[in-house]
Amino acid sequence: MNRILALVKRALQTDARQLRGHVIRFLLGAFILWMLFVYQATAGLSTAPGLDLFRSVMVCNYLAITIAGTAFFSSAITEEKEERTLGLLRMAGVGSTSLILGKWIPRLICAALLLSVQIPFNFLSVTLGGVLWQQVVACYLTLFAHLYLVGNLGLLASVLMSSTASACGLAFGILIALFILPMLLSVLAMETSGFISQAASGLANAIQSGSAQSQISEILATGANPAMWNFQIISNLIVGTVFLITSWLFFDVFTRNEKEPGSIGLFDRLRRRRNMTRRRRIGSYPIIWKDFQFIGGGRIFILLKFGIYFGLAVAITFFSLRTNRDIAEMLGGVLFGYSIFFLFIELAIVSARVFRYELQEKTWSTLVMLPRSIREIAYAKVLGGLTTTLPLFACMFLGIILLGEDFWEGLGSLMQEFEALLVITYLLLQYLLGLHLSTFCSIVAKWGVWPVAISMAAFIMIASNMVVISFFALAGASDGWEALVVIGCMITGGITLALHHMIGDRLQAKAAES
Amino acid sequence: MDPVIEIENVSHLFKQHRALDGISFQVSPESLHGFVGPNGAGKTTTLKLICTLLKPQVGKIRVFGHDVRNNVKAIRRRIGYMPDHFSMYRQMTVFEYLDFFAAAYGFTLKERNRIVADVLALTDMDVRKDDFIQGLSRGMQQRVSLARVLVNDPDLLLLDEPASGLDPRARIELMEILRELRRMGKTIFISSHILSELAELCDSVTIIDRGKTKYSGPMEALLDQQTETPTYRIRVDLSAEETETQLSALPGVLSVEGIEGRSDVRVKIDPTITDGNQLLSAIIASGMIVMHFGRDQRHLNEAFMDLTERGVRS
Repeated sequence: MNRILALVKRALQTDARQLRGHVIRFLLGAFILWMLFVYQATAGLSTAPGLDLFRSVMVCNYLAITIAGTAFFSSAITEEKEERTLGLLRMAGVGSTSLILGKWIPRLICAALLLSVQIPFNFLSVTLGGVLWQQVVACYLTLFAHLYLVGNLGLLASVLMSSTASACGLAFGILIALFILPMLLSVLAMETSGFISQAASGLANAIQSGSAQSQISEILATGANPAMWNFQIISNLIVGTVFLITSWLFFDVFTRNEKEPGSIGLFDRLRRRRNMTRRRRIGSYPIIWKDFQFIGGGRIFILLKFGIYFGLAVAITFFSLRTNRDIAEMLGGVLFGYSIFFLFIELAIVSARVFRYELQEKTWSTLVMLPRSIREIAYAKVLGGLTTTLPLFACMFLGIILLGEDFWEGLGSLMQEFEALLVITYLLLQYLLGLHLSTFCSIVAKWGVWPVAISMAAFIMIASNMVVISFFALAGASDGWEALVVIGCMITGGITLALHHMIGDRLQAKAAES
Repeated sequence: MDPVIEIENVSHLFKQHRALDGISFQVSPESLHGFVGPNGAGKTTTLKLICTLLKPQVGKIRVFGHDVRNNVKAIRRRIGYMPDHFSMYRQMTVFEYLDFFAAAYGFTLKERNRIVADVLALTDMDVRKDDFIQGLSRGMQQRVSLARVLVNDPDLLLLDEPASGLDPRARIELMEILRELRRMGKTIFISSHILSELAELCDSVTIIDRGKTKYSGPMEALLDQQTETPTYRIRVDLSAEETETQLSALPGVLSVEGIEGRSDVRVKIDPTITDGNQLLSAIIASGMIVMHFGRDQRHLNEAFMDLTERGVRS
């Protein structure tokens, strides 16, 4: 038993000795305590301040587990595959059970500790009103079960795939499918009848009931008296255990042959086939071309993405069509709205990926050796990465055309609303700061794969905004908020500029390090 | 001719660790200069300073007369740096990879066609040009890496451990390519641990240890150094015992030592009494048939061991 748990013991000892983990847990506890204080001080502004606070903490936790947690667990085995150290571990007598437990348990404990440290503080939200202690306990049990499911899903993806990026992709793909599937099944249930309809409806309900997100909403509904053990917890534990056993069963099969780091995807192979018949040449902007190929996926992937986005918009329009509305106008609205929504997501992903690959593969120092300034190279890379958003811009453009005069009228009226413009400017600046933060995290953090980098940036942004807003709330600064927003814009802009320069400096330093 | 690389009293600190402690040396044009030192001696730091990835904290570095602090672009246009690790876009094919760098250096399509064909031919990789880099062996990847370094036709090549991890065949082939490049007039600055090959390949060498220059100059001078008593390696048509007896009797011979496992002997002479020519004449005059006669040089390994300190750097 000692031998099986040797890796677990070593990892836990290392974690316990590192100050960073303790500091993060302390800051998390302090942050929740501060928010409790703020909500208590501004209790008059809400009918259920305890519930408001607890609900926002739960939403943040759910998103953090789903996004950052998936990436965190997806690297469990792939990090050894990428470093090609699995063979060495095997030669040292470390078996598959020991390896799986050694990589999975410390991660699970680390994540569970982050959740546990919040519990005593969140119990205090009961004193603010609107939430019962039973709801607090039920919510945390829900989150622990969700963490167990996500942890095992990430582990399975990590066993099956050869790189962290592909493992993250698989795990996220499954989670997104679980999110979308109930909606599609509900539509199928409505459109059909008989057994198919019943089966679709039953399956949709089962998936929905097993989702932590809907369970938290149910628990926190006013007047709810939640059961501690429910379908979501039991199903998450069972499915998680199935994933764990599957990981163990398939471990040897999928880790037998160690591959060179970096993977050749389907699009690379398609590109090669075409190259051999008619070699396509690099244009005048080689760095942009390279990232168009590797981050954007090249022409084939861009076209495919456009097809998917457009198809999705058409499907949504078709399913939500009202008889009295113009179909073109509605499609335009969907295309425009969804393009903006996905644009925000894609830009965040690009910001966290644009330099990560070069640093991970140690190609950055080679690229920087070109007779160009580091700024020229970095901006060219950003432009190359931005090509991935071309399908969205095409959809947005199409949406504007279909919306026609409605779009210009809406834009015109927005331009006349000074307050709305001010808020939009502030939010856009905050988003820009968030993009810089995720780029920075992806450069400096060891675990800076894009979902982790984005989550870290989002957490810093949300926490700092909440702290700033809470200061204003405590100061009772409700009048003259426009001036505060202007100051906020200026501060955000200043921090963004500083971060922009810091990214440049870090990139320079990283070129010399690799 | 002005030196290609001039390093004057350069020191570099990483936090509390002094990586370089006042090193100085020069590299002449069109030479193959070896750069040797134990692990952690500061070789890679020096290479990164020369190739402008790092800025020197103390001292001066000039490459082609340009200060590395101020003329980064001018220097980068004329150098090619190959790091000690494989850093390649593995999803690219060999052709794409070289074409990408040629385009990044600003060459036109027509120039790129010629350049890529040339470097592929030089590194003998033209038959693998449509292969993904990931699928290539280590030796092949090293060739592609070298081809990439040559894309901008640099006057100075900075190679950090180019032969590490290569099998003997790949190593010999790499050395052949380097010889060919020297014949083409390139200056090559090569850091390596394979001393026997460096001794054979290089015109000059710099040995550093614990951030300090221990030797810098011609390879010949280093190998001849500390042999104040001229020593010759001789093989004649007699048995080892007879050879020792007969050679010891010749004028000016101080000692004759047999070499274990070989029929050669090592003869030390007194330079005030005789020299190499006189010794050879004396041997022939005494009726022995000379099978081999040559100046006995130290091996680079011996020089390296003498000049560097034992133990791990703190």
